[in-house]
Amino acid sequence: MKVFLKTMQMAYWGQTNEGHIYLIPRIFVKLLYVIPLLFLWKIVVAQGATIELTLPQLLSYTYLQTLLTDLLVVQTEASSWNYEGKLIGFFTRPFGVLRQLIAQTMGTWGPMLLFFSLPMFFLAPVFGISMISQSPWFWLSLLLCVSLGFAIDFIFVCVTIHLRGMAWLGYVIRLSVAALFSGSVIPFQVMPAFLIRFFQIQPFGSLAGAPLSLFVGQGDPMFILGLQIFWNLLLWPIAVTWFQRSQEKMVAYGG
Amino acid sequence: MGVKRTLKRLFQLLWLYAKMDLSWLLRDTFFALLAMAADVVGTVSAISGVFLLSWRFGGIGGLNQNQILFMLGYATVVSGLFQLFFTGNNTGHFSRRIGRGQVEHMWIQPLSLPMQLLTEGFLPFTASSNLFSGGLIFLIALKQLSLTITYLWVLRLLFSLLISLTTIVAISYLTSALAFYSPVQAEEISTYVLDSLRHLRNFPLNEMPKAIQFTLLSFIPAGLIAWFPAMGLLGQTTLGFFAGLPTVFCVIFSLLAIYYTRKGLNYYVQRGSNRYLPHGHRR
Amino acid sequence: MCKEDRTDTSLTDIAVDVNHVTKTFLQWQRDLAGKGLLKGLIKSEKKLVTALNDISFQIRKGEFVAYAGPNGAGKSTTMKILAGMLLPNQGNVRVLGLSPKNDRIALMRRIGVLFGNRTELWWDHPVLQSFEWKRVVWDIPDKIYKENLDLVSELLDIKSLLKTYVRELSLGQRMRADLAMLLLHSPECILLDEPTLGLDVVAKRRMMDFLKYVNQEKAVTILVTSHDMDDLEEMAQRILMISDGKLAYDGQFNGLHQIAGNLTRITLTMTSEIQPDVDFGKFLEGSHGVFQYEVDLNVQPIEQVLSRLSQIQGIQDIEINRAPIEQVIAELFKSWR
Repeated sequence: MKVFLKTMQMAYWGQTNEGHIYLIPRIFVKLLYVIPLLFLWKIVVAQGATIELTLPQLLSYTYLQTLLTDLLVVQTEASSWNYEGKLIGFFTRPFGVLRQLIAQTMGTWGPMLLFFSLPMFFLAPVFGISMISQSPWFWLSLLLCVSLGFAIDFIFVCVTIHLRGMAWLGYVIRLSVAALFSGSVIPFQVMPAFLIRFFQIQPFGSLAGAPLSLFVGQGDPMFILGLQIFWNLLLWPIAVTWFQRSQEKMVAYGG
Repeated sequence: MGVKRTLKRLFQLLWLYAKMDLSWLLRDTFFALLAMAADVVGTVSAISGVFLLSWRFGGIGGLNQNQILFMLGYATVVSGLFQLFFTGNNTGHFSRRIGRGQVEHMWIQPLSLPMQLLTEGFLPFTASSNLFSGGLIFLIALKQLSLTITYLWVLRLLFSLLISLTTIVAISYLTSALAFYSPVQAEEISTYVLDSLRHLRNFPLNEMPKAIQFTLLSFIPAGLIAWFPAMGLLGQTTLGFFAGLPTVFCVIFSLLAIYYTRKGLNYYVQRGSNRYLPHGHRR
Repeated sequence: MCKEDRTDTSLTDIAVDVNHVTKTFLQWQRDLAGKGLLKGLIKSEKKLVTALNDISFQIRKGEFVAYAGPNGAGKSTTMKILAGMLLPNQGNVRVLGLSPKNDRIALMRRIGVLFGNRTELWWDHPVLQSFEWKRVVWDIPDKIYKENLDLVSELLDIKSLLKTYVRELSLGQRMRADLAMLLLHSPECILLDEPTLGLDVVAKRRMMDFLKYVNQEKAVTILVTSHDMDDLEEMAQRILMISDGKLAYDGQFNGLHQIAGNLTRITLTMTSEIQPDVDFGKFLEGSHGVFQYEVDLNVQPIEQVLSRLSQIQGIQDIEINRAPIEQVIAELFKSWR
């Protein structure tokens, strides 16, 4: 545990060594991202559209998604580190490679969670947005979401290893697919009806969309949690096995 | 150099990079096609959210589905142009070059920095998929809308595309200048900013509060990149804002980008960079 | 040579002119715990480091100069200033009569720069494609390009590599290809920062022979930094030694030996394994009947040493060599601290 926490700490400092002031552009960008989206929901609802979610639910959904972006669709730097040859260094440490990746990634979440998410959480009532979870299952769902996020990320790393380290290719695919299919930007409930079920059951649907739905009191908790557990049980063994099998390619890349 | 010589060099270099891109496509065809397919997936996903919403609700904010599609198609064509000219070698993401200490490679070429940045990113074969898919979406929307296309309208479209593209490039370089002062933390700043712009520009601004409209039509020019020019081309109201607004802000952002990039380069050659990461450099 | 921008430098045969150059850097500092850590959150601590401290030197055209110094001495900083990548805080620099700051483009047409740990080649393209790229960007006339390509291909033995992807090359092959690319535009002066980094003996030898050829046959001015002192001594006629940002020595390699003491190594091969009774110099090592001593000929002239050796019984063979330059320089570095 000490090793894990120390690695997280180093990753946190890596983000902030040059000064916390350089977090400001990222915070600003996040604010820009969320404010128009909140108003978009108001416009859609004001049109008289009939949707499963009320306006307060939509606003809470979007607001929380912005606060917890890094956790809801996990993205490690493993793909680009593989390309740079940095991943090889992980094998020389007396600490599991995947655990190192998890620790480093979680460490990088720290600055934005502390300096953006936390203040925004407390400011939410000022904007008339509720940050009280409508379901006690939200926290478990969030944990499963983070876990699944790591598993999917490691699978993507294995894909990029086999694509001769085209990290940017994996990045492009994942960015686009995750945004739409995870429900992080647009809740599944507001998609065209025939697409809702498909979005909910595919693996990315158990990322952001799952805990956010439970937070706003939408969806059957048992169904959602059941799906998350299913995808975790299915994808983690694939991720670990494939990662181990890809080790030689990983280590040999770059000469 | 005279203007004629400069233009000749420009086209000579663009031709060089086009040939290199084609040779990469032909040698690594599988991966090139995969990359192009990934771009198309990325393009479609980026606009799917707003489009699906407009489809579900018969339009958003006073714009019907086809008008929304037109706007999204326009936005995608702009992205496609950006990718075509500025994807290669991180020319469109200068903060990466700065953050990774790769600016030094630029100093040892006998070309001016603007010439290098205008040409090294040109990937007409492997980075054209976005332009094609955007063009297709745009044409489908045009057909559905049954707009009257005149020569003047086409000229206006080309001019708008140029302004939108220049604005994106200017924003990218303006924010990238931060990387001179914080190379580690600001290495990916241009990616954050352009990804956010890409997300924001898809929103129709018609019924947004004035404060949001003003913000997105000025110092955060997401609305100027797609919504404003699309409204002009559709013959729709631009909510009382001056028609030349995109051009004005394009010029302002370009001047600011030039100023701060120069300032940053002066700072860079005073301080140097101890950081060096080779990836992204000619890869 | 490249077209255009041929500034007339016939008035001077100075290739590199560094005049009272000083360069300082600010280094970020960070405490790991306690008050220092908290203080660092608000205001970062910085340290001023003087990389170059009022250095001046000139290099004539056609010279082959080694630029050496301990780690952190300021060698790479000097190279970057000469290449225009960094500006000095004080002083001025001219290379081939041109200012790296104001005449960068014209200068880059006439010089070549290579850093050992960085490549100018295109990773996902064959070597020849990188060369073709260079031909266009440097605007090299076809005739000159072809001549130089043939020359470097033969001398550096890279003909078989021309169609290979750069990412598939070994380090030694890549360095050769980088060096070949450097010379395609017939530079008048080349700056090399640690070009032999990571190369094996054969690859190093090839590179050195090539650089010597280029210097002697083409009169290219060469300034090279390296930690391989033996290699530098073999290639270069003159050595500039920098320590803590100051120029500590500028002269021939012979002179270095004199400064550090005229150290000589004497190796005795004996008929038996018993160490001989020797009253000169310092015993270094010995085994299996071979014994090595170090003598400072400034203190004990060679005649004395030879006279003493003639009195020793059982000597099968004597070898007298200069102390390796590495050792000389290591002693110098130590004495400068």
